[in-house]
Amino acid sequence: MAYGVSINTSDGFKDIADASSGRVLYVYQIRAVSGSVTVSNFDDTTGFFFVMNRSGQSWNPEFFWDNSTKIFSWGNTSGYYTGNQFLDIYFFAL
Amino acid sequence: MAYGAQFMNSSGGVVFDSSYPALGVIKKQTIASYASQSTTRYLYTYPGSASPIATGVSYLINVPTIQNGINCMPLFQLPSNGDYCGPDSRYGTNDGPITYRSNLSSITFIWVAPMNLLAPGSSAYGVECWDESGALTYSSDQVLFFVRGSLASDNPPVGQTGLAQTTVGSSDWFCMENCHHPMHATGNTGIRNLFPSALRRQSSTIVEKRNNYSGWPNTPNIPASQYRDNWGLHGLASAV
Repeated sequence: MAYGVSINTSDGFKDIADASSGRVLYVYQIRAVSGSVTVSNFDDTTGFFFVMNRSGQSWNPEFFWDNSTKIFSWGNTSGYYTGNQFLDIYFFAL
Repeated sequence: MAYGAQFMNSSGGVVFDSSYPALGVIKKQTIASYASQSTTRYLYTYPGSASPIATGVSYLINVPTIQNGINCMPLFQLPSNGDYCGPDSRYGTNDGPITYRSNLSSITFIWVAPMNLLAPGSSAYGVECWDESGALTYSSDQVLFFVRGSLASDNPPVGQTGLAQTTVGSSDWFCMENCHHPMHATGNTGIRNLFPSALRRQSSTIVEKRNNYSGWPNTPNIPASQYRDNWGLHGLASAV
């Protein structure tokens, strides 16, 4: 490598340019049918959130992210199904 | 930053910051699928045709998200050209909170979780980083998940007949999950129905996102206001 740092892993040396580890900015636990949370350092143009439904045979609620206010919210705006209230969310910076 | 370490690439991008936990690989497992009652699934061709590119049995695969007591994220591979996989958006089952549909009779998954939830490694070499609270945020001794790119910016267009493709590696792992699919309300107003979209391997370096035109309701109409374009990533595990 011509620059930077390489990391010795169990798979040999990795150039950090190929080793963006995916930083976990925030882990949030949903425990209500609806609600919201502010995740100030998350940006969905450069990040990713992953929602884990921890209950079987349950609908996911609807999720909304406002990248300007940095508010993540969930609920049931359709009135069709009531979503599960037992979910965990990872917010990543890629 | 007041503590820890940052690793930068040649473009000045931060590829690691010890203030935030990196992703470690917890487990690798091949999960057998089963034929679903709603068998035939179709993926849109491109551009704009409803002729299917993939038909036949679509297998269901129930994927746990808790491994070793940790709530973690599953990623899959598409080993051969034509292989596809996508999340079923209805609900999970008792043994698999995330359900996928695929043409594969079995799929290999890995599960990743933030490093501060994992035990430190035991090797005498390499690098470890800890945050100010004493939590391990990075260990080069662990099997790590390296993010190579996002699947976010190149979704199929709202008109649902499109294809989008992304350059990837032949052994990349992919994350897709149902929560980024818009809801349907009481009819055809969203794509949260069954199997709305899938990732399909086109070649050793290209995967496609395709929308599914079959299912219930038959032709979801995706309002732009509900469309989500941030619903996937791909990368490599350092050693699995």
